[in-house]
Amino acid sequence: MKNSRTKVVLCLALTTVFTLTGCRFFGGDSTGSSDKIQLKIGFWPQSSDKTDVGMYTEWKNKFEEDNPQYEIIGSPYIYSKETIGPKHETHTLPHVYQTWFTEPEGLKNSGYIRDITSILNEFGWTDKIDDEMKATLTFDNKIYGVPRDGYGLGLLINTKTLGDLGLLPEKEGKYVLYNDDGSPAYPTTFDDLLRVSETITDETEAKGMFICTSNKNGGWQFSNMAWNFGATLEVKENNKWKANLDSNEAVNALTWLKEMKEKDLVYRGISIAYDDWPSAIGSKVGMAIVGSDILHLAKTTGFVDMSDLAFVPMPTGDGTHHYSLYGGTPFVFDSETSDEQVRGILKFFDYIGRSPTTNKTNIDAIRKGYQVALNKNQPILPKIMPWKNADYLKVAKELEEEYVSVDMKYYSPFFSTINEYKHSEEPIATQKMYEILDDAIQSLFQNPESANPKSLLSTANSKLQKILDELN
Amino acid sequence: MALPLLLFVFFVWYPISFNVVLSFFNNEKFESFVGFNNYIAIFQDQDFLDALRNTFLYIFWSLIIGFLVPLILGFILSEAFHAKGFFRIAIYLPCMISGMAVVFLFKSMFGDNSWDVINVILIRWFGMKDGVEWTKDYHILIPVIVFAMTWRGAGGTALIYLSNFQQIDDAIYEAARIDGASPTQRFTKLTIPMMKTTIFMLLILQVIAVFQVFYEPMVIAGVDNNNAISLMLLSYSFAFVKKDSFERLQYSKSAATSVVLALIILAFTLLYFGLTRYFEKRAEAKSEGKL
Amino acid sequence: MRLVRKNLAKSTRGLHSKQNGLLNFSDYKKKRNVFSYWALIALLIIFVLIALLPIFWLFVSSFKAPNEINSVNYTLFPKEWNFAQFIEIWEKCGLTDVFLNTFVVVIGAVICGVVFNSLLAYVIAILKPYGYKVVHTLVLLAYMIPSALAIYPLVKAIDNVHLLGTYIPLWFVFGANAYYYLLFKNYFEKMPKSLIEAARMDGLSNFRIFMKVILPLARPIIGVVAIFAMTAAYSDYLLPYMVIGNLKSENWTLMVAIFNFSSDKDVAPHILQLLVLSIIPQVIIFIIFQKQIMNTSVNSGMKE
Repeated sequence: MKNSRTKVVLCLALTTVFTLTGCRFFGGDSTGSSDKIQLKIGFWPQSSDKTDVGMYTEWKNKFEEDNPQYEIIGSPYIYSKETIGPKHETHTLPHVYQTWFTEPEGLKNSGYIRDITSILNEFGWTDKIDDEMKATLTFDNKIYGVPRDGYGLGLLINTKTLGDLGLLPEKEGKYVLYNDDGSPAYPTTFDDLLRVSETITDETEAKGMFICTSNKNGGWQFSNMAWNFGATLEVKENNKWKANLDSNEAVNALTWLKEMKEKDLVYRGISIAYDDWPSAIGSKVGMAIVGSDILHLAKTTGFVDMSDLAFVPMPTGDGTHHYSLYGGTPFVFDSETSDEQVRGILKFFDYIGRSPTTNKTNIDAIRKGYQVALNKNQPILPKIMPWKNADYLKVAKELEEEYVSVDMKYYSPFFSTINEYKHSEEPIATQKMYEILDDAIQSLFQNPESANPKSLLSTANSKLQKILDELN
Repeated sequence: MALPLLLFVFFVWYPISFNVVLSFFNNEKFESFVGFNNYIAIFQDQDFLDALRNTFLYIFWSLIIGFLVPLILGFILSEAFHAKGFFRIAIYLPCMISGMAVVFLFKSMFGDNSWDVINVILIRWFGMKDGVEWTKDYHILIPVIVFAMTWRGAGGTALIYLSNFQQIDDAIYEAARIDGASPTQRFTKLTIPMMKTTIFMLLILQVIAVFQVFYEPMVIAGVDNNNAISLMLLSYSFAFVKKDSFERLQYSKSAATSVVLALIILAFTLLYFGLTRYFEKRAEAKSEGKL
Repeated sequence: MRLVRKNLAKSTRGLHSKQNGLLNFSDYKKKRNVFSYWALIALLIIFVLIALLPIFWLFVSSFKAPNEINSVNYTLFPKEWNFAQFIEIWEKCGLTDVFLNTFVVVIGAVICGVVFNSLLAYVIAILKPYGYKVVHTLVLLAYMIPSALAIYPLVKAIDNVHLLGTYIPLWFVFGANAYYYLLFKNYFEKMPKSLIEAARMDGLSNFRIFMKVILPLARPIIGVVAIFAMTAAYSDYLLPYMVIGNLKSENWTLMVAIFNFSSDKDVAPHILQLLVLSIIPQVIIFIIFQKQIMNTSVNSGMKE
């Protein structure tokens, strides 16, 4: 009796399992039997984001109506170093996905992404891509992606924290960025940064600055600091690349970092991820070095009002250089994507407002994007445009001015100077260089008192040189 | 009948053999045989040496924290007379939480900054100035990770000890009591010797388990923090994260790392089986002798 | 006699009635021993606090709004008990789907874990076909070497048979578990041989003996393995992450969801709520099966 009951339960359980999973697998991800060309879109929003999914579905329907030979399949993928390898191994990458500015070179060398030069030429887009961004996507004269938008590194300041400590002047109940004589009151040199950080750390629970150290982001930001101390990290001599990480200027930059850590003025930890800045900038640190393309995260994931923040150019170390590391967030195409699929995806860019054209579809989509962001209460900031053709720029700028929702007084110090200060990444083995610099910064953070910046950078230099020798 | 075997082939033996063979080849396409070069390469790799050091540090700390705590707990539980049921459930409760949730929980508590809860306690109650930067030093980080593992595992192990303590015949204690042995004497002369087998078995099993520490350091410290990386994590990292100077993943090095770790575990396991057999034989010999 | 003793213990409720253990009532006539007893209990209470406080902290903190969690001014209790965010996070992460998936994976894993390992154990322990010793040794080898050590070849193999992105490998991997196999084998070996002989005399086939004689008798050990497989499948992370981690979030299991969402910008500030929600089913299961689960933990006793 009991035995048979067990059996019934077992059978029931089995049937449930198989029906449930049956539905899931053969319904959910199944791709149907149509012979349409499938386009798997990795930058499709996560299903939890209902409004964005709605917007993309609208775009998808319109696109499929106009181009019945294609089928758009949303397959959201957030790029990460940990997942890209397994996903490539398992052939589960979408045809197009978004990655970080730092990644295309490595992705290309690993054979994960494909060259799309000929199709860009076909579309006439090659010459419309912003030059610096094109450079970061070009290897051996082949272009490996399309920029989404550009970014420059700048200094994000919590004006409330600084103002409350008397580090910014107050006017009509608001903290302002300039003194009465018009000179900047915000930190403009690395010495300023140190002093301001000391005050913040002494007077509040917060630390002075957020400095990231891991995932290549430490090296990425450090290279910008080093430039502003006057360093050049890679030089070409007799047609051969030479590592130049241990110049006096670079050592000065690392020495500055040593002092910051020694005095415990930076956000703590050894492996500090860039992703953590939005949660830190509220009350945990006063300042952070951040890319201009993701400032809105301060509000959306850090819950800090944009009116409590200001974005200013990178400070200088040697009194002359104010460079801002400049690059782009690219869309890249999986190596298994066919020409026809790349064509389809580039056509789809019109429908989502990412193409350089000024036809109605593209403009409407840009407008729609802004509106949806507004409805979601997302702050809208100026963008560094990925395309440089004049007709596009004109329309895009007009739209931007219409929709920008932050007080530009606090953001124009950066956005009005970026064209003057912008500086592309170092040209060769850039990601490896960042990784090597990450290591140097991490060892410095481990033992700030006893660390020797010169010798750390010498070690880093010889590591980089070895790699350059292999490539030369 | 063949089906279960097929599963073992597919899920266990094939992958392991694949890795053993791969560890002697230059890449995952098996292009050329390189002998022991991958092994030489990993032993010259600082990451591997760090991971090797850490793996033994994990063992060391788990012997101190992870081994003693459940033993003591098991003993006290067996002697406790009041609120037995409550104590057992309370001690066992953390075992019910999945390992992943436990690591995230400990990551949240043991943050580096002065506003993370453990540091708040250290600052407010113990007068420390800024709290501890846990991830900075492997002498601090590894004990924290072992603490997290022990926190989750101790209850289950303590219950095993408990049942073994309870199996000890009360008549033996009674006899000793009549002979006038003090509680301390009874504990050292009777309890401990009788528990020796259990203690030893659980000890070895624990050591084997600790060699496999993997996602704890991955979540708490990050894949690239050499203060916590274990051999297991490094092997994973070679295969899926860490690239060489040509931006290629290093499957062969991953395989070699796996093989080294497997050999270490194998040695411990053989020791375990050997000693189990030894203890059994001795027990048999004893009971036969008595007869 | 035993019953009397039990009742006695219940009615008096004092150390002076403690019958068993290293220290019993006669020892507790001495003050010193009573003192050490309470010292031990104090130590136990400290352990209990260490076991419970993190859980308590997690539950309390999970009611904080993200900007309060991000605040440097630490307070133990939230200024505002924010219940709504649990619903928000539930919807954002699609937890209904995620829990359903986890359930599907766990059930499949339990079935595979019980069926295949017991079958293999039956063959090796009782039928003993030619070469069974070799197979047994090979299985033991698998017991020693964690499968996660060879995750890359395993994922490749799963890819080669086109099972990536399905739950099938997540079920069947539990069918090849050396530990469960050992538990079954030890149990079967202790069964009275006469039963099997008798069944054979009745002309039952080997498979029917397994179904009709062995399995009904093996119910306790099936329970043990089922509980083990259930907990393990619920907490399993690495293989699910590799196999289904790259599917859409509505196909994830709970552990994959926790890990993937922990680096998602929208969900990361809510990680504590996600943890609490992930723990609740386990607590419910624990409350229901508390006796069985705790006995399992004891009985499995690592007895080889």
